[in-house]
Amino acid sequence: MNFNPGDLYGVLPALLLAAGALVLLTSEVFLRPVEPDRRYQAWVAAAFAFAGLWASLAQLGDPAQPLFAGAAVSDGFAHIVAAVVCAALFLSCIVAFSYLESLRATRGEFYALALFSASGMCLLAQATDLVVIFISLEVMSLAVYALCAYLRRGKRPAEAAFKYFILGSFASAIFLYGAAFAFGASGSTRLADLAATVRSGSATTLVYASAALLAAGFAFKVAAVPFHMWVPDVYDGAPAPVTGFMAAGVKAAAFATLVRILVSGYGEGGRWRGLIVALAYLTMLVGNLLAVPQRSVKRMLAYSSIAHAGYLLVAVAAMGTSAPRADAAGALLFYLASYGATVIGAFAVVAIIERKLALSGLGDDLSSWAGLSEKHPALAAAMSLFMISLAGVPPTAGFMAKLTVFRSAIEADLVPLAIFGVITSVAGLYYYLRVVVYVYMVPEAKADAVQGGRLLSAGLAIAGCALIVLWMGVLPGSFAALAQSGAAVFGR
Amino acid sequence: MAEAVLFYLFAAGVLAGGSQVVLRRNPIYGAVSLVGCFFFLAGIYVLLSAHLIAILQVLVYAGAVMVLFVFVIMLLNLKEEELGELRFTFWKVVGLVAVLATAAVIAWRALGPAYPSTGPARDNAILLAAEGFGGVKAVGRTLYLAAVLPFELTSLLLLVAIVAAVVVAKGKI
Amino acid sequence: MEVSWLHLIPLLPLAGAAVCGLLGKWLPKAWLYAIALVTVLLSFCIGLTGFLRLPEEVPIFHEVAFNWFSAGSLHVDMGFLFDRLSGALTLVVTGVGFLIHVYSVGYMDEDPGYWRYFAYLNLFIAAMLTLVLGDNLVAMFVGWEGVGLCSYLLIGFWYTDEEKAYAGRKAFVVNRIGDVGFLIGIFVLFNATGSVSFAQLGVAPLTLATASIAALCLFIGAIGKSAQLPLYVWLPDAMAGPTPVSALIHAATMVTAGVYMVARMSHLYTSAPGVLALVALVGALTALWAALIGTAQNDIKRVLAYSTVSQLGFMFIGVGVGAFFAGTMHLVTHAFFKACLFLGSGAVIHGLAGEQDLRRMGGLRKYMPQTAWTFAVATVAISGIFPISGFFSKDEILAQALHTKAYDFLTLGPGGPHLTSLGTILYLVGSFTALITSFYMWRCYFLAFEGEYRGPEGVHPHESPGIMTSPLWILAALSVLSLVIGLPEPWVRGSFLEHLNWEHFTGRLFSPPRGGPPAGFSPWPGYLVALAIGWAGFGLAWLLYAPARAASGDDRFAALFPRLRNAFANKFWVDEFYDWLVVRPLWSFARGLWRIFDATIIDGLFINGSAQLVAWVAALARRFQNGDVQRYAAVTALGVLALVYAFLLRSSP
Repeated sequence: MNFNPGDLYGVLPALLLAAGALVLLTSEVFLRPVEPDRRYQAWVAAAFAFAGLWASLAQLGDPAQPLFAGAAVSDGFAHIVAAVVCAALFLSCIVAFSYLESLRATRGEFYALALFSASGMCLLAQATDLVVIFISLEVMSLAVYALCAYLRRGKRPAEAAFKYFILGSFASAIFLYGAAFAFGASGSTRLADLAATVRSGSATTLVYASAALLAAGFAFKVAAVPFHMWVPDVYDGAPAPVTGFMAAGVKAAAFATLVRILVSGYGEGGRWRGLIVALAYLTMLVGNLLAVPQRSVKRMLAYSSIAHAGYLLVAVAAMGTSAPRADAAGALLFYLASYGATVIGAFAVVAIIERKLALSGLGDDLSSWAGLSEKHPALAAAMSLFMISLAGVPPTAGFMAKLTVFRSAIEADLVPLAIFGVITSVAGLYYYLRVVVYVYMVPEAKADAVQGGRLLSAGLAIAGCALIVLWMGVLPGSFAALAQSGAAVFGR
Repeated sequence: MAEAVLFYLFAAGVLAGGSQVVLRRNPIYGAVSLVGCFFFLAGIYVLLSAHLIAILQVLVYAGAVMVLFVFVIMLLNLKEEELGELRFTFWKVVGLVAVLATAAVIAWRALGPAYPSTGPARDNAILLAAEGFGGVKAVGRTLYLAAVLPFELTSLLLLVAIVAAVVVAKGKI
Repeated sequence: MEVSWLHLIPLLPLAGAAVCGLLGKWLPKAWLYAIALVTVLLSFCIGLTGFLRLPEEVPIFHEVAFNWFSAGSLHVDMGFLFDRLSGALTLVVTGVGFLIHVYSVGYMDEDPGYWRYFAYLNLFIAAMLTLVLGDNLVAMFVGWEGVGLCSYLLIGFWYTDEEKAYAGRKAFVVNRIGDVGFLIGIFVLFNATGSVSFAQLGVAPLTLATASIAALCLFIGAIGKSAQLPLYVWLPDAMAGPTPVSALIHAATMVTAGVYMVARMSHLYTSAPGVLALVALVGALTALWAALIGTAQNDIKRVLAYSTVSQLGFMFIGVGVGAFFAGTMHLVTHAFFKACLFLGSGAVIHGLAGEQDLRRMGGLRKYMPQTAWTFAVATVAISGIFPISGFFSKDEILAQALHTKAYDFLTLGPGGPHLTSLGTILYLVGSFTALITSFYMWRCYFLAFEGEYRGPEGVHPHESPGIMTSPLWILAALSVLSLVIGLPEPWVRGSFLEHLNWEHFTGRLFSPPRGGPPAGFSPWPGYLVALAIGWAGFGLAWLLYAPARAASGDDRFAALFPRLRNAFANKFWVDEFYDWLVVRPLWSFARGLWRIFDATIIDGLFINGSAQLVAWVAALARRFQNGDVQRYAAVTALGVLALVYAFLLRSSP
């Protein structure tokens, strides 16, 4: 049980991201004390994110192997999640650049914190030990709490961050309680040992108590109903680029870990599958229902993120039976990637609008989206694309993602769940298309254009997201193949 | 037998201290209750033969961390009227009931069947202590070999916590 | 035959839409028009070339544009299938679409949002072409959703806020119900056969239960998209967009999608004879229902909208009796004359400065003779009056219904009576509907174009510019010429027209119904009845709505009815009698139908119901989501309790 330096290569993406954060923090020392120019930071952060993306994709072909005596693992599943996280970070950095610059709020710690949180996310996806999961979770969460509180003009961001912090700590405590029970049952914090205990049939009731508590802790992070209460306030209060990153990155990492715990730790899902199914029903229903009356686009997207957590839970539930497990894992990864690209794009557009609102002092309401197509046809077209992708209309990534998820659910004999998913997602069109209607059909009340100038970098990110969304919708083959190769660790 | 008596004594102390931390409106009382809570916890560690952890608990938490807490509380210098009253709202009661019910369900359905009370408990602690469990060497081996990844990650976590605290505490942006 | 150019057909209009939508605002008008029109025209030309070059032995062009996705066992290619059915529909969509584009240049010229309009129009055509040309159900669903999305955009194009919220919601709710059915149908079929491509579904053996469930689910989708009972209500409201859009939605695209889908899935539907009967029944009921309502409408576009619903019902009778060729033939002919009618009504509205009420028109033939003539030709076609296209296609449907063998082995429950008489019932209902159709269409024509001008003061009705009338003429000519595809096969056997005969032309495309196709019946009795019906409807309308112009007289029409006219010497009395006997009951019945069904059930239950649900949910959300952390934490704790309890309860020994 000796330390093997080669294991560090296995966590290369996380190392790169953490190194990037340290570089950024250190570089602050060399800045002019008066009016320092910090514009380079976004690009350095983006470069490290890109390096992380490259590293995780480069490792994709490597055979799966345990790292650090089984505390973590380097496998395709983790690499794909890391790639999604790094891509999300990359795009978010570019969006944040234009957002923060135009608000004159660029500070060194922003990008460092984003890199730290992404590093935590990558580790979370690799962790196979409950202690490592907990610490990575906290690395991710603490950084995200701070990012939410980053922009403190008015009360909302600080309040949102504080709520997130309090409730997030509560969820972490629940997770720890569950981890303690798992240790009590199996005498180890390794998921593999836990699985061995479950398989041996000597599992006590402690195992089930631990499963419930661990699932509850991560149900909070993935925003499953009834652990979703924090989502609307936090998404609404946080700066839009952060919200996009949160929605894409935190969700990807948390779902990866949830799957890891349930499948690797508790194995055949006779017991947990029923509960995940129940959570999925509840989450799809409540998320879609509560999104309907929202007039603030950010809040609507928050509820939509809850609804999407429900669809992702469908994929998790489908992993409860061994036959379509790899397919379902592939569907989950594909869904995470497509949702990430879409939601970052959507929040990038929101960021541009929000910037306009922040400068003019208006509240976020659908009416401020009216007539966007007159001033910025490309922005309007991109937003419409993201909306129909979220709604799951072809030929976009969202449609493909939903199709694969529901198909895996049907193969896992969860037909009612799949049908319920189809019905709720079709109902979801209502609130997504309302944005399109406002963007295209409602004439603008006042003629205040979006501020130009630094639109360019956010525009690049939006174009990139739109491209991915279309690409994944029209030619999903290569993405699906990637997702499948990542999912292969869950058996064939 | 003596072990069991001590355990229940310490556990009751931990619970009493912890609930006082939550319920006291005056932060100084809360801080002192927390110190008490930490001491009782250290006692439980001792019962488990985790001597090193017990000592660290007293030194680091009860000693160093709490002193910082008390400094901060004194610097804030809150007045009595700023502290507010303890109020029980409907949702607080719901939350309390839910938490207690969860604990009860776990105790009843999970802990009960998992540890049936058949005869006197074995003195595991004494056996373990004979093997060097809980000593510096054993903790060190675990920390730097089996748990090297979480150990290193903790440094990352602390760094993130510091940076996050600075960001949140800094003036308006 | 595998080819590599099929993707161009939908791609060109899509490219046009992208250019118009993204750059249209800054492009000169002429360029924009050129881009929008030329892309559609090019699609048409490609389609036409392909259509003419279809190989005789295996008349199929197929292209796998790319492997769309493979997820596990689900393998879907984005492929295009160009056979005689989809080829003909491609020509109809692009051809009629192009004419509507041309017309729109005149119609929308002064609208400030013209560039958006043309972008939507091109997008609409691209979506419809994807629907028609897709070689599998998923690709079809892409187009299916696409046209839905475009119609949502286009219907709302001119709305004021209040109306939009309402009609948009209506179209929306109704279409979503259909979409759910369609998607579930796809899943069921995929689960049963492991494939979604038409080629494989066309031969896959299906159990009766699977086929019935899948066919039923898909048919729910068709009901929504093709506006059949009970989901037809969105279509009459959809005419509130610009008139050329209505023409596009009603004639060439969108609403015919359901009929096309049923015909495309003929193997599935013939494997599920019960559902097939249901298709025919729903079609017949809708045809009658909408025709009755159509008699009581005063808005010219609303009359046409209900006539579309009714005609779609006819098409569903056609496919429902297993005569897929008859249903699709009516689809083609209907596309021509309905486009002509809608564009004609657009010209009228244009010429009258926005007036849509039939009671405030009249005598327009003097002011806009070209519109009137083309409108009359199309009205003849839709009334099923010999020899224009509608006569043949509608009568083919009715004759097939009368002689069908598709239901011979169907029973009402185990051991119940056989449903052999269902075909006859369908025939009778259809024929009666044809009578009413002829009546209300002529009523519409007379009210709009004959008699004295009753329009608003100060409005000078004028003929539309040439760019708007020329499409009308072409469509009118097509309405007449398309009769050749409907000529009975014995008439054309041996001549070059045989190749154009639709039944012959699409012969091998469709699966025959389980009872086999009806054969060896003479078309003559049916033709005579249909002829009588067409004229009877006209006569009724003429007696009622043409008295004012009796003096000036249209001798051609009048000469045909000397006896009838003498019999009803006193026209006033006839009017009164008719009014008392037919019109009033009919009117109140139609109004009643509308009030009970549209206003109460659909509007009240679905549309307002969904609005109330939204309000209720909003209240609920406010109650729980009030920003109070303690409340959030309490709910979270309750969730933990529930999870722990559920886990431990289930694990009890």
